[in-house]
Amino acid sequence: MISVNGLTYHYPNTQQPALQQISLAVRHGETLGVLGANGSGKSTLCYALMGLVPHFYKGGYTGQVTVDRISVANSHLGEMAQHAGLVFQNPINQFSGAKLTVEDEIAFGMENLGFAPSVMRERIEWVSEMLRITQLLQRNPYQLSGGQMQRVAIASVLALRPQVLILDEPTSQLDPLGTSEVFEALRSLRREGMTTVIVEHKAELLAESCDRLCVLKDAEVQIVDSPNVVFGHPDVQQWGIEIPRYSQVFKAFVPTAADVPATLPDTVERLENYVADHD
Amino acid sequence: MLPITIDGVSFSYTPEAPVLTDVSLQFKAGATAVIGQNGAGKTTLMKLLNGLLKPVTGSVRIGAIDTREHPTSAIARHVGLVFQNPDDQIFKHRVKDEVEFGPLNIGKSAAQAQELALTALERVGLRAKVDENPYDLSYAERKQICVASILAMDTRVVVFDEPTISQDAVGVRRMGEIVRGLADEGKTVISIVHDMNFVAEYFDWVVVMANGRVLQTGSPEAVFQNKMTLALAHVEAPAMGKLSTAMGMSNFSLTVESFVAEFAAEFVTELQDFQNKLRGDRGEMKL
Amino acid sequence: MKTLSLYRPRDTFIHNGLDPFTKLIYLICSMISAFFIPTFSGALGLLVINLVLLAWAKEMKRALKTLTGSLLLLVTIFVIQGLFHPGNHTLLFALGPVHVYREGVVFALTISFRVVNIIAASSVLILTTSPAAIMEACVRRGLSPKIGYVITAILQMIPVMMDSASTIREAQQSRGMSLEGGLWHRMRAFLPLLGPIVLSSFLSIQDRAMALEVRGFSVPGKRSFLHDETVLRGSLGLRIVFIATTLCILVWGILA
Repeated sequence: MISVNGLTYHYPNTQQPALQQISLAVRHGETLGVLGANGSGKSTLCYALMGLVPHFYKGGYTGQVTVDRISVANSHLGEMAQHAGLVFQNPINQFSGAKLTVEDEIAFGMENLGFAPSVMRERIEWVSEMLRITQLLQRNPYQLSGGQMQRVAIASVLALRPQVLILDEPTSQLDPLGTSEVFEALRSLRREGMTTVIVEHKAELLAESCDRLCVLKDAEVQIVDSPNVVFGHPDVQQWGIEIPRYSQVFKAFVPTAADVPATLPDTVERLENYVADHD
Repeated sequence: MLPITIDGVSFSYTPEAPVLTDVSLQFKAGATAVIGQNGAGKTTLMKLLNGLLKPVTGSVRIGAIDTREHPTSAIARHVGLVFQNPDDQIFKHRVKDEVEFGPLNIGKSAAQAQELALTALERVGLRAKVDENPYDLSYAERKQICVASILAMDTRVVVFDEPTISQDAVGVRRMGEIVRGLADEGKTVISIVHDMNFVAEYFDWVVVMANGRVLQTGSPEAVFQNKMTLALAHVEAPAMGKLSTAMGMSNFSLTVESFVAEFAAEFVTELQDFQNKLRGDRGEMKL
Repeated sequence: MKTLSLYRPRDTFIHNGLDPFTKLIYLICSMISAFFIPTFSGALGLLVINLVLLAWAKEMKRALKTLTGSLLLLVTIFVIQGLFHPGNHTLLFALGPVHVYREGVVFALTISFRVVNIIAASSVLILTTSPAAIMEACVRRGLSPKIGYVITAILQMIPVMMDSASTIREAQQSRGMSLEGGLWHRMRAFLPLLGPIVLSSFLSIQDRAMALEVRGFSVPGKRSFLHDETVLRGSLGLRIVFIATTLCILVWGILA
């Protein structure tokens, strides 16, 4: 679904590459988590998948990015909006500011693209059910909780029916309840077969929700593999990422394991096996 | 150490919408985390601590000082408040000037202010950026500048509003070390925190808030084992706590190290053997 | 989102019985008429119409506040024109060395009527209609959505910047800066705020711009609207009346 080949990019007026020879592929229906230290290129990668790089941020761009076989560099941003949706950290700055209700806010993107009102209504119903915000449709988007606002932001880009959803640290600014609301929404989307790329620092949550993880360090890809393999990798300490505490525990007992559990249920199972083997 | 007493405090901006109701708390030396959903009144509580807001009823005392009787600029000698959004705080063109602003205001000499600023920048890992423009730095680095600005004031009470947001693993660890360092120096550290793992690993005491009231105060062990409190505050126990419960351990662990030790003690029969292994792998365990 | 606007929602015919575009047409017609009406009685008549509309909208109090705000300007015009207008030669009255002439006073009166009428007519629109509604009405009729958006965004930016300034001030107080002191001290304290406020506004504008692009804002081609525009009975008739009356006044003004 997403194919990145040799992508190298630097922002205008900078020499340092923000992305260096990035190559990766995301399968249809897959949820890919992206981790890395601050400044490693995670947000830039999100922008590149959607087309903000190179269309909004001009700069030195080589390599190829395709989403559903469409070349991002050769497509107008408005066109890309129907193939890739991007959700940012700060819910407030994502709203159009021109709409007084959640319903109208969700419609905003569709209005820009000239959809018929009947289609808009259908899509609004679909996304609000999926993201459990039907009861919020007539509310003012600026008067919602953080978690609700982010779900409205997701709904607004989802209404354009992109094939891919990209989320750049969507729960950074949220409290624990908001965070779990967003991850629950992502689980629903995963069940529907949505291809998702999510950048986050929260290793435990990523391990639970992602099929594979991609680690970025200094603008380069270090690894793309399942969470268990990523967190069990011998070099993981050098990547500057958070390691799930569950994995840390397991590694204390089995330091040479090539793949370690990263979620609670997995860890419980592996620890019980460990005890059984050593009794 | 400067004890803080909050006595029967209620606060609201308009009478119909109370933000805090009848809050009574005591803060002593050490690190206290304030947790709870957004809207529970945590930020309001922070602002009451340095006099930016005055209680509608009740009193807030910093040591012997009643916040109702002094302007914030005076209380700032004793209570440093690190705001959440660095862009709401930074207003100088040079990191050095920004960090020196606080100490100069509260009466330090230019030489003292400079020294305090450089030490503070060292502590947050940004000593090298001392002459740069704060807006040329990343958001996470600007957050660290704000922390440095308050550390440089060397106040006996330091209050943080969600210091770990937008920080990566290294940044979070550094924040934890700063919190712990300040607490170990005998200062009173108070922080709003959303990351329960961070609370478990670095804080001595927890205050749980919901709907403008205090739900519970206690040690992290006590609070994180109280299912009712967790449900009402919409938070989950930290990872190691959840693991302790799931494995049916007799002790509730808060950190990876303590869990590993407890688990070894409870389940692994070749204890001596295992302890040797632990010692040998100490390098790997210091994660 | 807070918007810098004088609009206060109320339930009157002017607020809810007239759609934004009709009110906009009224304003434009009123302003043109104010310039072309050749007699004082005509100008007074227009003023009376504006005031009646304001009263109907229950906004007299706020409108009068704006009008009295312009009082100083008008008095100045009277004084200056009465004394110094070129073409002054008919003495109205004299107070010692001060000679007030008829031509100057007439000129000042003409200008004053125009100013007051424009303010009153603007108030009819601005006090009773939200900027977003006005912009939407224009965009529906072909105003570039980008221009409409920019205007709405500017009106939103100002309260945001003001909030930002007050938070920055709180942060400064928390770092020991005293707010007491005279005007000079406070002004000096305010100036360093401008840089970061503007800068952080730019940062959030950049975020907003990205979010808009992600929602297809810059796609060329026709937009659509989720809701049909509410067409209120008689709007078309009213607009025709306004335009026709203005045309008559135009002719009258040119011929007189």
